[in-house]
Amino acid sequence: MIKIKNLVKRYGDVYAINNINLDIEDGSFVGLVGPNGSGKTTLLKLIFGYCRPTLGEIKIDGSSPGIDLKSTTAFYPEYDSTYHWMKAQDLIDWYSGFFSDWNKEKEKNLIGFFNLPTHRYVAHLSKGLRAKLKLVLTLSRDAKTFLLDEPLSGIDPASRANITSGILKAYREGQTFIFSTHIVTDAEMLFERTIFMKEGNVVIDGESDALREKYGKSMDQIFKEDLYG
Amino acid sequence: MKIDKSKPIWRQIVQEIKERISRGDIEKNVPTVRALAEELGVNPNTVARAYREMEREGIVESWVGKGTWVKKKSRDKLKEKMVEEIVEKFVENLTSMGLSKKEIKKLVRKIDDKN
Repeated sequence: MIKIKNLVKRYGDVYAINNINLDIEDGSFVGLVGPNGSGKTTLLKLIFGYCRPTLGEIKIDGSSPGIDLKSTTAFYPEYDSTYHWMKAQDLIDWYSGFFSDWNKEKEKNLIGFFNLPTHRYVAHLSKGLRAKLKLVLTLSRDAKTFLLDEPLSGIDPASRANITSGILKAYREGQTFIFSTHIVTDAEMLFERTIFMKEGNVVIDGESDALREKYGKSMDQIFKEDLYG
Repeated sequence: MKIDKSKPIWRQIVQEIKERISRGDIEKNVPTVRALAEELGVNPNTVARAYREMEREGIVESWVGKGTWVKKKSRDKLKEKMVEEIVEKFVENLTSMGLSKKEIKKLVRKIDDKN
């Protein structure tokens, strides 16, 4: 269970997170939706412990983000976190050594599903393949919580379905997924709950099917027409 | 199955499974939650919710570890209901075009004669 109370993150005079309160139940798959600069990445970084709140608190199963929680939390960063001078498989093998929850079978399945040429140097992989490599690094763990920051960003429309299917395949009952995106239509069917952010605030938050019933719209339409149109 | 993302997805899954049962595409075993979730590209919890609703309606039964299957008379019941709905819709469409019940009956009889 992730409990966020009166959370504020200020950079200089900019409020990246402006008083957020959220409870995220174990085993829920949450979409964190908003345009660039709405605070999605900052919120994920705060949950992971990459940075500290200015005010308020985050508790994951009762403890604050830190070294201990990193062993049960997997983070997919938006930036390129790979090493280009390594071969993909060497990078995976090296990276897997840091985690006691690494699942070799999941790794093999994901490599196969994404058709990832792991014998190649990372430098020789396209941007899309590097994103898939990063997903293998993140999703091959049996972590309790997965924080995915913009896994669809920079992925061409034709490959997005392959990415979301891979994430769906890796998802296991009981695991918590928080998936941030500004590309809603390709991912919204994965989200049991959708949280819409705007200027550091949560503006709409609900069970996705309940929101569909209430608005008569898809999450993508709410995103484009009601909130930021 | 084409999913309309502007309507609750779990309801559409219920409808789809009912149709598959009444057409005979699903005879006994309903796909596992995970298999259907991956087929449709939706969250497994959404599929599980649809199955719970069908269980509540008495269409399917499930047992932990054994999966979900169609109850004995479900197909006949669902088919009957679906046929009724089609007929109602058919009559409604024709009445809205100004036809009386008598004329509709006449038309249906004509179909019978042709065959």
